[in-house]
Amino acid sequence: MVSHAKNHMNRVILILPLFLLLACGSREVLPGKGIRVGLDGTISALDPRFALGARAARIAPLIYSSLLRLNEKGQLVPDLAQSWSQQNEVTYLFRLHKGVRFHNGTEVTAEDVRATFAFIMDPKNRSPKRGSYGSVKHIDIIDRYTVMFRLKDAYVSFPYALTVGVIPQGSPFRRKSPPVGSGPFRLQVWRPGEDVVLAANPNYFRGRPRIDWVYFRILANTTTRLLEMKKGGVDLLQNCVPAYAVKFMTRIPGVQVIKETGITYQYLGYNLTDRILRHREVRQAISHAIDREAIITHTLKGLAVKADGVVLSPLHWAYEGEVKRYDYDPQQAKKLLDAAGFPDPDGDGPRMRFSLSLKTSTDMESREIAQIIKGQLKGVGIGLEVRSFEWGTFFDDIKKGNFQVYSLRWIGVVDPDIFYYLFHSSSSPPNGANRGQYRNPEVDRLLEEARRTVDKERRKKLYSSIQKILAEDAVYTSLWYRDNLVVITEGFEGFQIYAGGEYTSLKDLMRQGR
Amino acid sequence: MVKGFFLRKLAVLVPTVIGAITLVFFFLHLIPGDPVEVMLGETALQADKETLREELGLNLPLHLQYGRFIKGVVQGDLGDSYFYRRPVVRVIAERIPATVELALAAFLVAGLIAIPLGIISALREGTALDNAAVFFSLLGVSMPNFWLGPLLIILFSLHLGWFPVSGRGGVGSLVLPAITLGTALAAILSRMTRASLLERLGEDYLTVARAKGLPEWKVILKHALRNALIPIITVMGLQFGVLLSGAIITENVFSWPGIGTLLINAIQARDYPLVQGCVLFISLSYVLVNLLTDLVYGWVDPRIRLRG
Repeated sequence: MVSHAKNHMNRVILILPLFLLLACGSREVLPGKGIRVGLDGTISALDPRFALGARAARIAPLIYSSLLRLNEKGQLVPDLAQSWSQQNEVTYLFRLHKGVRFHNGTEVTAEDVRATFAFIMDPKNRSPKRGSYGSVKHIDIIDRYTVMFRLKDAYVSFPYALTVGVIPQGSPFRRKSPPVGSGPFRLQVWRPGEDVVLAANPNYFRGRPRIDWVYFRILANTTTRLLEMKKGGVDLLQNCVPAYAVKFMTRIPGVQVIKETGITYQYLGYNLTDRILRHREVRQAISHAIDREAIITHTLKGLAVKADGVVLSPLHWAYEGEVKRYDYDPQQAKKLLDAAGFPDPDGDGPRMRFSLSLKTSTDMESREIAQIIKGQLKGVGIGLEVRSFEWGTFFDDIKKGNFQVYSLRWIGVVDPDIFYYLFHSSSSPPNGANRGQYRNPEVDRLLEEARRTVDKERRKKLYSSIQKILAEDAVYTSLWYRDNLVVITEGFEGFQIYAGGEYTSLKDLMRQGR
Repeated sequence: MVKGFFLRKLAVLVPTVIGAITLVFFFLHLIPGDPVEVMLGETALQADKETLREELGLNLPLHLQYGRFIKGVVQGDLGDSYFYRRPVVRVIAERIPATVELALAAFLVAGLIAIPLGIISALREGTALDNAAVFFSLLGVSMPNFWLGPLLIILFSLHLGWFPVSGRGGVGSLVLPAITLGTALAAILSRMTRASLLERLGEDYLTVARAKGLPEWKVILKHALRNALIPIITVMGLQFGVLLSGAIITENVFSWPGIGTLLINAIQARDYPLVQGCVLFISLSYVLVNLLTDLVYGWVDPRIRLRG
């Protein structure tokens, strides 16, 4: 018995290293020219009917063509649609390009467009995107290449909902392999949590991509991501290099660092039902007490632009810059606090006028910035307790209104109707993201009117008024717009930074040499 | 007798696993975060959220949800992952090879370093060699994986170019994560080997073995080490469970697609079924490894075999 067990054990010991050798799959060598892109986290789904989250949205335009798409400035432009028009307040007509083919060879028709959106809108399919199509009454096929959307009520932002990738009708769902698209690349390999490999679509209707493949690698650990770039394991990192590492990146030979003004808006949000924060002067004082330029220069290493507007970036057509400004002015902050009825009990002494709690995520940079803000607010007599939480807990607290002040960002805002979602009195969670419970009948009226107004100039004026009121009320303290930061290996030409961080321009990328 | 041994073990193992998954079930529901919103997105219609909550049974009282969960476990159905929208069992099954592969490799690294080092250390007690081994052990235990991993990458990947920085593909990619994960275990095991062997070295039966004329290496390896192995195996067994479940940091540093990174993502996404599935896997791994450890005792020391 002992001898038998011993022989067996010896065998196991001998086999173990062999098993290890065999168990390790070898990474495939990709033929031709391509680019390796590092991603900072995993992608849960690629199926355009289900995919949520920024990472999937940034890759999607490479695999899927949509009726409309966002260009590098975040503006809507036709994609599968050859032309589109708004017939009246509630009717949109789209004429498709003829001869566009899915990766499986079938032609893209109006029927596929209808099937894609009908699937999303069908409650039994549980698509997380259904909410965006609540305004749709009918989708009518006019002919093989023409489709019409009829809405229940006027909703001028509806076209933004048409940037979802179109897939062949009858495509199965809840499968590991997502449906085919008609984009410049077709999905070759997807190992969730590991990598995504795309191969050039030779039949892409706007011309074959100039590179043969794109290899997305999930590199969740920041240090590893940077070391992979240094080693040459990846060629491109977009918006996933922390400010402190930019200097390190610039020192890598053969690598270039490109930065461009971005649209990611960082802000402080307030609970307006709080007995202290319901005073507008207090919120204005906090805005004056924060030295944003110092934080941008020293902590963010200049990789941001001070935000004077509210939510929308200066790149946006509806942006209003002529709003009440909150430059760094501690004296003004103190005056405002005095006026609000919160005098400093002991002048420059250690006692505070009042104390607040600031909630933030566990992200290292967010915590660091929160500590700096704490120091700056102390200068005007406001005590601040910084509390950082794991993301899920933090976000849940924010949505439930369980906060006094929080620090967060809005990423990729292109539709100005977001103001409705953020500040209309009916948009309190769970109906929207009016987390601070802001109530202003004038803003409500303007938001409702802007939603119905087709004339762009008129809409711009309405949004301008809205932004002026929001700034005056200091509903948010605008901090900054983060720059888009791209680190790319030399030898690539044609990469364009998109406002929303999409990788769309990889279809036009050229690679010299290998 | 063998049957009885297994039944006795099973009587302990089943409650252990149920206890672990029960704790996780209730703790998971205590932490804030709404899985329905993770699934449907923040902008979803309230009616859709309610429908889904009902479909998933999240509207039921917690004890009823627990009953459904346990019933599912017994039937081998862990439900669908909220995040991946696929059966939990399949999602986990895809990650098991990577985790087992890394754990085995780390185990191998630890064993190959620790046992010889512990033997040398014990045989050369109090010498410079022994002190150096003690120093190595302290260093190994003290170095956190999130620091050792990048350090190894800088040295072996960037400067020497021997191994890839991260990812899973080919034997080369396994070396650095295995060393990172195995170092702390090697440090513990080498100390255990040293201490256990030192205890045995003074025993009379070794004097008898020597008096019989056995060569010294045989005295040490066959008689002393074999008897010293029992506590070492206990630690190895427990630690292998840790390797299977505790490689979270190492997996993160090396972008290793195993259970550890899956579990972290699942917790962040409030993917209850997937978290519960991962914990079930981890607790099962622990108890199975412990069972295996008990079996190995029997092989090493027939006196305690099957005594249970």
